[in-house]
Amino acid sequence: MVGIFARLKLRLLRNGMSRGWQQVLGLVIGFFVAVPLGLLGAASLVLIRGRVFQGAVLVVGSLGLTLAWAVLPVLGFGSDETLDPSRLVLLPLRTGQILTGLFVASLLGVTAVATVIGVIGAAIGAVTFGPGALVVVLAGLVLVAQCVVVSRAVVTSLSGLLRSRRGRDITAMLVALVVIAFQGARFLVAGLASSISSAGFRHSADVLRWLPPAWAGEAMAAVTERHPGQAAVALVGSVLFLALAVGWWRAALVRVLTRADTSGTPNSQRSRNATLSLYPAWARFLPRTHTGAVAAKELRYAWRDPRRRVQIVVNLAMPAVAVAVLAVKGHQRPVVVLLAAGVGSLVALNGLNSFGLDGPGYWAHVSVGPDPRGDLVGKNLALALQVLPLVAGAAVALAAVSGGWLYVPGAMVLALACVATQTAVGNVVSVVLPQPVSQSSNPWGMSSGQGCVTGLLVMVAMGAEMLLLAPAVAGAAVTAVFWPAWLVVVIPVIAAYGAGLWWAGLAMAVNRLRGREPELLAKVDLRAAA
Amino acid sequence: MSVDATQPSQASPAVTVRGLAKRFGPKTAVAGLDLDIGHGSFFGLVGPNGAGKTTSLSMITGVLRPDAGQVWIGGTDVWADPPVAKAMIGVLPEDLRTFERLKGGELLEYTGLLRGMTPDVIAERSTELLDVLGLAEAAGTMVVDYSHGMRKKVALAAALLHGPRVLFLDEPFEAVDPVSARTIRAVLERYTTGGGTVVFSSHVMELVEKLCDTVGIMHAGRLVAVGRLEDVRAGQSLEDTFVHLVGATDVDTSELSWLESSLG
Repeated sequence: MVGIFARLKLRLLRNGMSRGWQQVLGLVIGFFVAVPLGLLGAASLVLIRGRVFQGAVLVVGSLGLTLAWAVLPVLGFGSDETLDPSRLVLLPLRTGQILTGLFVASLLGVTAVATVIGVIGAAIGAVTFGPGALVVVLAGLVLVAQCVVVSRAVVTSLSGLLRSRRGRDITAMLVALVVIAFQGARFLVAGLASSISSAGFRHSADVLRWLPPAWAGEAMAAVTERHPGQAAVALVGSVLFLALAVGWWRAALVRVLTRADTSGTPNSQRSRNATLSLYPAWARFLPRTHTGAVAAKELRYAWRDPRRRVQIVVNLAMPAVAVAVLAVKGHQRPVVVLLAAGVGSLVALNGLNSFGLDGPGYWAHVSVGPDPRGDLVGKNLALALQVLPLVAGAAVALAAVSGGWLYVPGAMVLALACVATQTAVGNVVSVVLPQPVSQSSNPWGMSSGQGCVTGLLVMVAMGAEMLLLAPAVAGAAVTAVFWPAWLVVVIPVIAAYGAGLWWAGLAMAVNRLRGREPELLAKVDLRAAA
Repeated sequence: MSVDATQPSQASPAVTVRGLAKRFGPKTAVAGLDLDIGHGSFFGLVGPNGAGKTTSLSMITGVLRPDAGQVWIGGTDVWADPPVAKAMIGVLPEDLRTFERLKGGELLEYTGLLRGMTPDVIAERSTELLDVLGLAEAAGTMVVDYSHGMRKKVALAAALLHGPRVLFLDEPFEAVDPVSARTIRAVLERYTTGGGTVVFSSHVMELVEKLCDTVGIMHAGRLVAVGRLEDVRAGQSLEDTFVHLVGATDVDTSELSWLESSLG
């Protein structure tokens, strides 16, 4: 039975690769990132042998590794088909068989290989002659096992939620928050780096070693610190924790296998909205035309499409952090308000794949007789409408700090000029090189290989946007620093520059797209007839 | 959802197809399709999976460019003058490609505005359509949370909103519960009574026999039979004719003898 599960996993890996070069590339990149990372971890764990902080590193490492295994698969649910136990419901298998089978299948993967390499490094760094060696080896095995089991238990417990539309939307949001929190933590660490000492680190490890997932590392640490009794206790504790985790996984699995799946049942108990309209209340002024409808739909999607909601949260968080940093520093010159335009520039970076995000929905446009100009202008309009409140908020916050209230309108106009310049590039790229966006259950959007290619494209396109922005930004910056009064003249000139570029880009994109809408549909709709 | 009764191009058929062909790599999906569908007819396109039905309908409705051939809707060349041709047709796609994160009512408003209709007409017609299709309660629910039958019905509403002369439906009854199927049927019958032309593809022979006056049988990218329902089936049931034409033979199940013994 174990062999069948293992072969299933290998077959899934291989079939995934035969889907296209992008998947192969994704796996290869994954391999060349994860394995060196594991080797690097292993090497450093060997090298710190005998240092005072070795024990602390082992404890924190054990905890961190287990946490990573618990969280990461949830965020990438749908990428590993063997992760979904409800696929096994109809097979006449005992729970124990499924447990061991899935356990082995989990071990066959790039992440698991990297983990094992890292743990081997930790063991080599900690190993001593005598009975200590046995403890270290056992603790290493427990650590790898507990990573896999905790990861499976978490995914199994949440599998019902993760298969529902609502649950996946929530997960996508969580991913965004985790990424933001990570970025925030990086800033924090960078800021506090000087005050972190080896002693402080060891002190926090002393607290963390009371947490059960850290006990496997604690067993190794105790061996290095020559505390045989403590090592034995920690090892027994870690085995008990592993047993508990297996029990949790088993219980969750039984629940999934025996309870009816209600995740697909639509919730029709929603109240009937009397004033149902495509146009959001604050955007009623948009015209009732093709262009207006596209803009209204984009505004609705900005919040309802989990991918775009993530973008919005990121767009809100980054300027908020920047403004907070400037506010904390205090004593800013009034011109600092103009920096708020940068928020607009940041949001406009999302306009590089307008039609890819429509995906299969673009069929509706082609089918009614497309209007490329209306589509693009509507999308650009929606982008501008999303940018303005963000820039206004940032500008007002900066004005409150610096007293530069006079610069607020200037910041708004500059932001629109940035958006215009960048959408000039965005419209052309959206039409010439549309990227399909996966509509699959994976909330994080695309498969890794696809993401790699799209990433390169995005980098090039962003470079082009920056190049076009450079003269405008330079002009505004020089004027703001040396002759602030002249901004009254310079900002309108920049606005005209942006408008001109936007108009040219739009004409180019429309010209390119007109008559080729069915070809664009075939590119963005992965489900198109093949 | 009244159908425009004045048909300027009465002389030309509702749908004319000549030499339509499409290849995907080495595979020929549609190999030269010729077809005439008269005004007011209820045309059923049947064929096994992979026969080229969806590909044909996509090319006829102007969303997939053919390698060769031409299509006219009411005398207008679909690929030469798409706006005019597409204004005359409504389409229900097989895989329900739509903006799922719009609510039912919003989706109809969106479709109407894309088609250049006025807000008043859109509001009036969508209320009627949603009522008749039993979706009034669900108008405020996102389409992504709809059941399969509800999705087909809201897509049908979107296809009918502008009062098209010709309605194309790709597998409108597939995976639809009997109650929804009955509603869809009633709406389609009402539509043809008003003079509309319906072209739909299906696997369900009984439905095609009940609903259609004209049928075409597709196999391996070609029409192997086309004409009035009575002429095509020639006294047999449509299923027998179909199975005979696509070359399937009776299935020999004698090899599965263990199925009986294992039950004993």
